[in-house]
Amino acid sequence: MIHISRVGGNYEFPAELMVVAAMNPCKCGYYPDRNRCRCTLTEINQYQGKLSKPLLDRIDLYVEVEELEYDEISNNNPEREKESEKMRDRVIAAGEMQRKRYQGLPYDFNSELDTEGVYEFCGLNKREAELMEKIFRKMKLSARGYHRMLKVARTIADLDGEKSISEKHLKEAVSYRRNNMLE
Amino acid sequence: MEEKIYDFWFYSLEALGEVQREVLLEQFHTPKEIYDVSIEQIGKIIGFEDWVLKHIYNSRNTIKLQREYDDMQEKGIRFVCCKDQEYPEKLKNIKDMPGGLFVRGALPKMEEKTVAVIGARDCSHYGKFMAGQIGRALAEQGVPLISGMARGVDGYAQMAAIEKGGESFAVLGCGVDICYPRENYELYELLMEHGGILSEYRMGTPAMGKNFPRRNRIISGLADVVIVVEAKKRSGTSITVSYALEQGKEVMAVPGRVTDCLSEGCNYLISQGAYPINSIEEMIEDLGFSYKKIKKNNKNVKNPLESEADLVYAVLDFVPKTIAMIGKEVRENSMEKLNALLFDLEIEDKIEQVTTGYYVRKQ
Repeated sequence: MIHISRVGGNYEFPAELMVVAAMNPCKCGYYPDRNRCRCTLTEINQYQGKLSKPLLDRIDLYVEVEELEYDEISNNNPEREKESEKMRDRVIAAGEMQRKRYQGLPYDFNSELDTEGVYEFCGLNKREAELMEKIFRKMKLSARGYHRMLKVARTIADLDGEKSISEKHLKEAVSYRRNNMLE
Repeated sequence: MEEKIYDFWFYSLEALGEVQREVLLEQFHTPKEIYDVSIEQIGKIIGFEDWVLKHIYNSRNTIKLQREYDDMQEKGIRFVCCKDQEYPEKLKNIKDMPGGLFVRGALPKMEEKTVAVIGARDCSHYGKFMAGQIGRALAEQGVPLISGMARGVDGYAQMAAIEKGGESFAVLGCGVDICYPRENYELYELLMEHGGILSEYRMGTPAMGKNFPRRNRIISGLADVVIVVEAKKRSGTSITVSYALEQGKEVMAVPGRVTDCLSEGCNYLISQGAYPINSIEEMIEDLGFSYKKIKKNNKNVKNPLESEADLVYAVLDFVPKTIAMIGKEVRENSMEKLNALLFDLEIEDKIEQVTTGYYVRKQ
């Protein structure tokens, strides 16, 4: 849902979508391999700055993709397919868990939780809350980032089939958050 | 006008080199007389081209000079000319010595040994690490660190020295009232308090490419030893090194891997006779100080049973690695576990991510 509040009035635009996007780290694409990447830091910042930070802040999962080895491209590994199947089962199970949890509520999935929803369903125990505080300070999270990270942690816990968010879920959620020293 | 202002005018004239200044002084004795003499009379002297004369002529604007001088005073910028007592003795020995220096903050004390740390702007993490190590080590020994406040090695070394409580001086290729590059603003402010910002260019002179090679002679000139941290074979750093050699300064270089293009310059210098920096302790001793600190790393060596976190830490260096690469090296397949270990190390400030998902060791 997109809310726009201006002097002229308030508008709500229903929106529900998943964005999957890919980009290069710099214009030559080799950064941070400094032997091949000869881009200056300014150039890299310029390149990455094409996407505004508030926009990037709304992206929940960041994954770096490495170069593939020859074997990995040339062989179709059947083991991998099995891994994917297993993952799919976990995803379905996690989705089911969320549907059950949110029965009778205006949400279907963790991603749809609003602020109150986050407080209610992504609550942390004492140890986890202390860790979250450390993370918040260290990563200089925005309010949005904080809420989004909790939702991601909730989802990771769901994938593990666990009731409450534990430290390891938070730690994994951190690894998916954009963390850029360049800025 | 006050005599100081005549000095300021004369010794900051960009069109005049050291030799021309001497010729003029011989003929007309004082800056004031040179200011007042007709331009035709100066034109009679051999070796003064028209553009130089024009430059001198145009610069004689009493109102403007007075205003600029007052402005400097207001901003706390001093002009130290080469006949002043304060003028660094070491600069008097270099070729084409600057007529004077604009100073914000202090000037390095010349009885002390000073070291310049220079290197690539786009340095690697290894360069950043070594710049920091050297900067801190010099600060611990109380050695003033001279550099150019540039992005990369220069800035990292100066920042590290100041953070360790040391003194550092930046020689700029623009006016001292201009912070170039802008991203080093924090360092610029700190330098004013913990050292100084120097330039031979007048206030308001923008950062121009042509001025930077020339200012490098002042960087090497102010130092007794020039340390090169990382440099490509042909770079601004090599200009400073050639000035240093011409001025008879000692040059030291941080060796690097043969395959790293950012170490090519340093390795080449070493092959040409520069001192290699094999360790920080050795460097300090080579500089003529006794290394006071006891090795810190003993603790880690003592413990034979390395924890998993130590293992992960050990495979990280200054070449950014992804979690998958780390996993392969420590033979750990569980991403979850690796993630938690990396997280712990990061929150303890032992490692950092250079860009999302790429980890390097932090000092």
